[in-house]
Amino acid sequence: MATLSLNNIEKKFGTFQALKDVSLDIKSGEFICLLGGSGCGKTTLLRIVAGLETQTSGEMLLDGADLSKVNCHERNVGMVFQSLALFPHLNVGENVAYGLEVRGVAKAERKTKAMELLEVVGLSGLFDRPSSALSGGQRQRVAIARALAIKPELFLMDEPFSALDAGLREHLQIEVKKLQRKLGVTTMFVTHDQNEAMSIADRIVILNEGRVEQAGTPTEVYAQPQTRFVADFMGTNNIFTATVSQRGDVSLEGVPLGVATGDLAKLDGKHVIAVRPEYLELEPVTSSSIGLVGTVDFVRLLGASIETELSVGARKFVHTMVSDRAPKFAVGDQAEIHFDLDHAWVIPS
Amino acid sequence: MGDPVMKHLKPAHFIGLFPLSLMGLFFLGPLAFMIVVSFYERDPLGFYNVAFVWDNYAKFFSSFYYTISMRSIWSSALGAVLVVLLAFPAMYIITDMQRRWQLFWVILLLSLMCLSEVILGFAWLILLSESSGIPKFLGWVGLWDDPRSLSPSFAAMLIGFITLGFSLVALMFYPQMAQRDRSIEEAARTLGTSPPRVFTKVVLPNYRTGIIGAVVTMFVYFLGVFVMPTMLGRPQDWNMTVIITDKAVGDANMPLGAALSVIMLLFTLLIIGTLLFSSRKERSS
Amino acid sequence: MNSFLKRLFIWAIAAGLILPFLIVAGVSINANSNISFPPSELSLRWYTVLFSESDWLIPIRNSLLIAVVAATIAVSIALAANYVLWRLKSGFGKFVFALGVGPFMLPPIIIAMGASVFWAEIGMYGRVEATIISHGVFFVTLPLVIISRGFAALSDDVVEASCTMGARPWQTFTKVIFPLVLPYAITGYALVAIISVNEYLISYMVSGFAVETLPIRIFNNVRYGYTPVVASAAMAFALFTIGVLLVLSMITDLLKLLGAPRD
Repeated sequence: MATLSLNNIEKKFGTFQALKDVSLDIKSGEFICLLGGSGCGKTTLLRIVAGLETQTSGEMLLDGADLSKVNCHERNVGMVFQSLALFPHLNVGENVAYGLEVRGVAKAERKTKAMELLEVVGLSGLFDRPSSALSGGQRQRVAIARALAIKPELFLMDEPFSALDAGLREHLQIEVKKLQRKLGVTTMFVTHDQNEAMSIADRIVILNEGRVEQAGTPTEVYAQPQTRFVADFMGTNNIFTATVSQRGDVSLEGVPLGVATGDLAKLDGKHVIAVRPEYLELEPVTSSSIGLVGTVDFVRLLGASIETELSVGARKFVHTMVSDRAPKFAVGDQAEIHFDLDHAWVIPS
Repeated sequence: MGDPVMKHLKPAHFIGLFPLSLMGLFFLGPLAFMIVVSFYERDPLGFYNVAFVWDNYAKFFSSFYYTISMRSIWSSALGAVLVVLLAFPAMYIITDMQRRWQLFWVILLLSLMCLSEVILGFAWLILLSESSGIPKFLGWVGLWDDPRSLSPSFAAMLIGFITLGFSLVALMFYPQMAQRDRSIEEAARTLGTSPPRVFTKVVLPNYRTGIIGAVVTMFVYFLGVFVMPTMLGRPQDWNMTVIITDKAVGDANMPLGAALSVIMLLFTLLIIGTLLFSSRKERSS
Repeated sequence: MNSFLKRLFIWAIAAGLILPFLIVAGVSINANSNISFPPSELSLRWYTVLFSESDWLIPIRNSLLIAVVAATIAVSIALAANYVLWRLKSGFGKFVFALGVGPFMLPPIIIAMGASVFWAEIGMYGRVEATIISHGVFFVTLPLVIISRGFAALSDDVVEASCTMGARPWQTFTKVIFPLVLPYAITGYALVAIISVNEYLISYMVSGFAVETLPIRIFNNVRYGYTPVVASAAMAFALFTIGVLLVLSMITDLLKLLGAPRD
């Protein structure tokens, strides 16, 4: 299939810089998720790859050839838009076969190919259905079939499932991933939903204000965040600046937290560390408590787990545990917070 | 495709020359010619002689034209206000109807909008006549001893205006009213507002600019109608348009007709300009 | 109480709008040759006169000819202007569009006066071509606005999707843009044709003494004495107008075209 190299891509809209120095190498057949909040530039990047926008500077190579010189309608990309953009005046079969029609493929062959594709996405038999008479999930699948009908080198999706309800969304995520694995097409998928990215991506590229914060597998990005933004963005995290003394004592603004173990033991001085909520422990406050003491603000019973939010002065901490144990603390209680420093991740500066 | 950064000419620019040239030549051209001819001299034997005189404009400042102008302004303004007063609530009610009934009304209104002034005027002429219309009916029922034709009269002319403008105003308001966010009105009702007050306190203020715009548009439109005043109005009700046509075609005095039209044009532009200016000021404040 | 008043109001308006035509219809099927209602004897002779005497047939033909050609001119200008505005959202596009809106903002007499002076100077005063062109140019506003709704409904991403699937710009136009805008163009055409057939002032002032259109004939008749043929002409007009609109409503979603939201 196709390898895509993005080198130092920049994009300005007037004075607003949407993308700053984005570089990315995507291997053939890889499923990449562009993840970030609104305005981070993920859709802009996708549109540049599709040819709907042109980068202000930077290079784009598809299998080594300069893609920027190629016009939108000459690139072999299949794109699924956020609004799906199905042609309202064409029925399902005509929609799916559209890409083939503009390439001059004969009518009979178009029909065969379109029907094959409809079967692959599970919509066989809907060839003649008008595009206005489809359910949400069916429209999605038609859009996907349409993009894949032209056997694209790149498969691009712009937040395609954001308008669907949770159950259907999860179902389609799995279907798309399976389909992609079967076809082996290099894929770029834009989303703001981290759970979505975590479930289906081979690699996640996290964007913030036009810059790539980190690109890595879901595990890497979750357990080894390279920047404070990523540590904060992925899931819930407790991030603070701890001081490691020469003797190996870790403290937060003078309050002792314990002895440094693991990665932390090799360092001294001030470091930003991140500890996931599942690696916190809460103990009742006793007269001999010398550690960090916080007040419980909120307790969430989430079915499978219990999440407790505490505040220490202006700082907030989150603790989570499996819910077979009864919650020991209620709102307003005081608790001593212990950190499992073995699982403290040091964020590189 | 469609890179916004490319500044050179695209096919669309060339396509744009077609409407530009046609509109420029056949719309702006006539206006320009009209201004030029207004300065010409009237030739009693033919059309006119090329000249540059202010005579035609000077004629406007006589009491004859002054009275007619005032009269035009009064009847147009009154007509405009009445039309909007009727059409706006009507549209409010119609856009809440079922789609089938809305379609009925839309077709009715579209038909009336397209229908000739001449036909509309004729229809009311008959309806207000003593041989076939309302007077005859009232006489037949016994409410009127000596039924006379109700036209020509000022009221008849106004009724003609209203019929003419109603469909125009109604269809102008249709998109906005059909697409309006009804949840605002529903919220007001749940807070205890009665339906009439919902209309006056919630709906009306939203459409203030639209209503003013409609009144001004209709005012300008009624200034320029010819058939209604001629068919349904008495000579003392005739507006400036009738006079212009009378002079230009009837007296074959094109320069005078042109001059009077230019004056009306300037007046119209003044009104429209004031409207645009005040709406821009409102938007920025 | 409240909905009773509302219903009364609407019925009163409907009556005011429809009643005149009921009367005219009644007058037109009167066997007698004087104008009176209710008709004493029913007859369709006036309609026969309308469609058989050349006095009437010629104006009918003139009106239809002018309408068909003028509507074509108006719709092509409106399509071009809308396409330009849609493609180049810039000042040039807006200017062209504004030119199209211009005729609607001015009182009809000014338009008519300007047109007659213009054609007189050019030397085409009194020719049917002059009226055709004037109608075509001055009635641009309605199709312009209607077609603009068509382009507004044409979301950008449908065009982008077409592009990513490999369609060249011309293919996108013929396969996506044009089919979607067509219903609006047809509606615009029908409306301009109807308006042109009905129009009095411009056709009178530009070529009225040489080319008699139907409204001109009716107006002259009303002024100088008439028989119920005029009433039958008026009814024919009304029925033609409503007929075209009914057909239009069957082949398009007329309410949506005029601005109603999608259900």
